[in-house]
Parts: sequence; structure tokens; C-alpha cells
Amino acid sequence: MMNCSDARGRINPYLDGELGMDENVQVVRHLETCQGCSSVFEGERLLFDELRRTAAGPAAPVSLRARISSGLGQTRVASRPWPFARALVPAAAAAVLLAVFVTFFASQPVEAMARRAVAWHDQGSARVVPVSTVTELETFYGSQGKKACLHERTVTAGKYSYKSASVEKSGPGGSDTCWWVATCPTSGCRMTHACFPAPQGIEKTWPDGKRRTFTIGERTVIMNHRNGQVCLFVFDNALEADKFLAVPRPARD
Amino acid sequence: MNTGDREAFEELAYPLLDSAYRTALRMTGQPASAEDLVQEAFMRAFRAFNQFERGTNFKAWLFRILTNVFLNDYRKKGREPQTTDFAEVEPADPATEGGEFKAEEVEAIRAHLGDEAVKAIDRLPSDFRLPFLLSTFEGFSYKEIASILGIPMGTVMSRLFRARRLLKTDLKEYAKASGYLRERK
Repeated sequence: MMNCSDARGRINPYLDGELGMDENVQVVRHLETCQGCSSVFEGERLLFDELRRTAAGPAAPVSLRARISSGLGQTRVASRPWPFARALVPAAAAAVLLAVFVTFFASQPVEAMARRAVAWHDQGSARVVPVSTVTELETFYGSQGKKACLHERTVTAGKYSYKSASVEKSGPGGSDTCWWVATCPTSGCRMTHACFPAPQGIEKTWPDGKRRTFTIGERTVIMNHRNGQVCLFVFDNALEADKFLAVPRPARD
Repeated sequence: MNTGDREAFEELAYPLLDSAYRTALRMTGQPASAEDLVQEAFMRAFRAFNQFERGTNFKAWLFRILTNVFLNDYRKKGREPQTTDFAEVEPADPATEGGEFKAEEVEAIRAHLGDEAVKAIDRLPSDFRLPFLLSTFEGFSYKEIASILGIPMGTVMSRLFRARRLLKTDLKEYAKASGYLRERK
């Protein structure tokens, strides 16, 4: 059980959302029973929230954007290197790999997203803490609460229901990607789900309205591209993914 | 020149202009220098845009360039604002350092902070000020800050926590001296 000294010693990483789940839970438990520390944590959070609100600084002058735009017009991007220029490829094999890499490179960004999603599903979900109220969420994430995504009511998608929230600062879609973790209805396995704005230019290789599926190790990733949004679902295995696909498209509550 | 590249770059970069500018302003202390710094950083980022892996964290990548330009070009040439030395007494136990604000104390001084907070931030030595700006105002993780500044994560944490301690002490002194907070017995 954590004491005051241990808790206060962790105030910074706690409020920055950098503690591992175990330590976070211990801090939360301590704060629930210790008014003194609770007040100190609250004070710290309020103070830095206030600084964020008032002292972060002004917007850029309008003229700066024009200046940059003008500068960009006169600047050249260095020519894009051939995709595997950095890899050491024996000259003999290069011609054979050429055809392969043309298509591979075109699809790579999407597969890279799927890989990162699987990595998060397997390792990153330690950061997920089931919270059921906005207050709990703010307590857990402190001043970073604005970046967290919480369903205030249970969302039912087909047979899945989820409410847990998490924050991912550098997910496959960039910062502020919201992740949800759901439990598979019959098997109790885990399903993770995230949506984010479609990366610039992705429609060149992945048309809007299309679904793509990736198998990465044992995991199956289903990715939908629709209306400028990418939504992905990571399943523990192909069987769970199939069950999901067999369910008619759900209505959100 | 590839117009697609320019559009892609602008789509990623312009939304970050305000963040870049306000960070540059706290780095250099002067609006004109801040503008020059941002201009230079954006140009360099655009020239190097082929090295950016699409789909990864553009903000961290851009801020790394911004920070490098600041550290190499602005700090060296002595354009950094003057900072006063803090009499640094390393606290034996962070819990008893006395800089903490209780919730009701923050409430009491909130309306009166005014410019003082900005001045206090500007008084931080830049080694402490940079991690503070990147964490508290720009929301980068410790790992991202380590990558942006090119220092170990442990160093990021110790400088960041110290920056916050210094700010709290500074603001507490100000609040007491201005009569917004009563002395604790």
C-alpha cells in the first residue's frame, strides 16, 4: 500500500499520464483515502491547467504564415529517395526486387498502421484503465483528461459492449488517437478499436469506402476507410474477426 | 518541384504554426526572433520532408527541427534572454519542499497571476524551460521530449520536475509578497 511520500514522489508522472497502470492504480487508491495528498494533487493539477490556459502564449502573427508560404514557394524538397535506398541491396537482386517493392511501398503505410495497432493491442493496452465516470477519468489522467476518449454510456456494437477509455499520444493516426478496449462476447478475448483521420494521400492506394484486412502473427486487423476516417479493429485471432464480420452493422447509442 | 509534397507538408505543418510560434517565443523571448526561428525551422523541415515517415508523429519531428535550430543558431549567438540564477537548494524530499499549492490556494491566486506566470517561465534557465514547454504546453510524452532534445529520458524527467518546482516556488513567493496568500505558520 502506497504512503504519502511514495504518492507525492510520483505526482509529476501521474499527472503527465506516464505511470504504468499498476502504479497509477496505487496512486489513485492512496488519493481516495488521503485528503492531504488529494489536495496537493488537485492543487498541482489546477495550477498547471491555469498556466496552460493563460501562459502558453499567443497565436502566430498572420504575416508569419504568408512569409512561410512565400518561402516554401522558393524552396525545393530534396528528391524522394528510392524506397529501399537505405537498405543494402546486392545489385543482382535489385532488378528482381524492383517490381516487388513498387507495390510493397505503395501499400506499406497502411500495413505499418496495422502493425502498430497490433503492437498496441498486445503491449500498450496496459495503459487502459476501466473507468466509468468522467471524474474517474480526470482523476486518472489529471490534466491530460482532455485527450482521453470516454463513452459516458456503454456502447453496444453488435455483441460487444465497451466503456473503458485510454489515451494514446502517438498511435498510428498520430497524437490524440482514441482507443477503446472491448471484451469479445462469448470467448472473453480482447478487441481493441481506434478511429482517426485518414492520413494525407492515403486514398491514392486505398480508396474511400474500402475495407482491408491484415494478418499479423496471430492477430487479425480489420481496417475501414470511410469519409476521410480510418477505423481499425484488432482481434486476437482470425476466428474472433470472423465472428465480428458476421454481425450486421451496429447502430451506436 | 513536387506540388504534392508541398500540399502534404502544408497540411501537416500549418496546424502546428501557433504551437511552434508560442514555443519559439518562450525560447527566444522576442517576437521578431521567434518569427525568424519558426520560418527557418519550417523551411528546413520542408527541405527534409522526404525523410519524414508518413503516418508517424509529425509534431515531434517538426519540433525536433525547431529545437535544433534554436539550440544551434539562437543560443550560440547569445540571443537567449537573460536569466537570473536561482539559488538552488536540492530538496531532500520532494514532499516537504514547501512549494506545493493546495487547491484552495490556487483558487485564491488564479485571477491575479497575470503576467507573472509568463515572467516566471522566462526566468527559467533554458535547459529547464525547454522540457517544461514541451511537456506542459505542447503535451509531448517524456519519451518524445527525450527524442526532441536528444537527451536521456531520465534527464528529461529531472529537468522537467525541477522546472515545475522552480515555477511553483517563484509563484508562491510572488503570491505571498503581493498579499494574495497568507504566510503559513
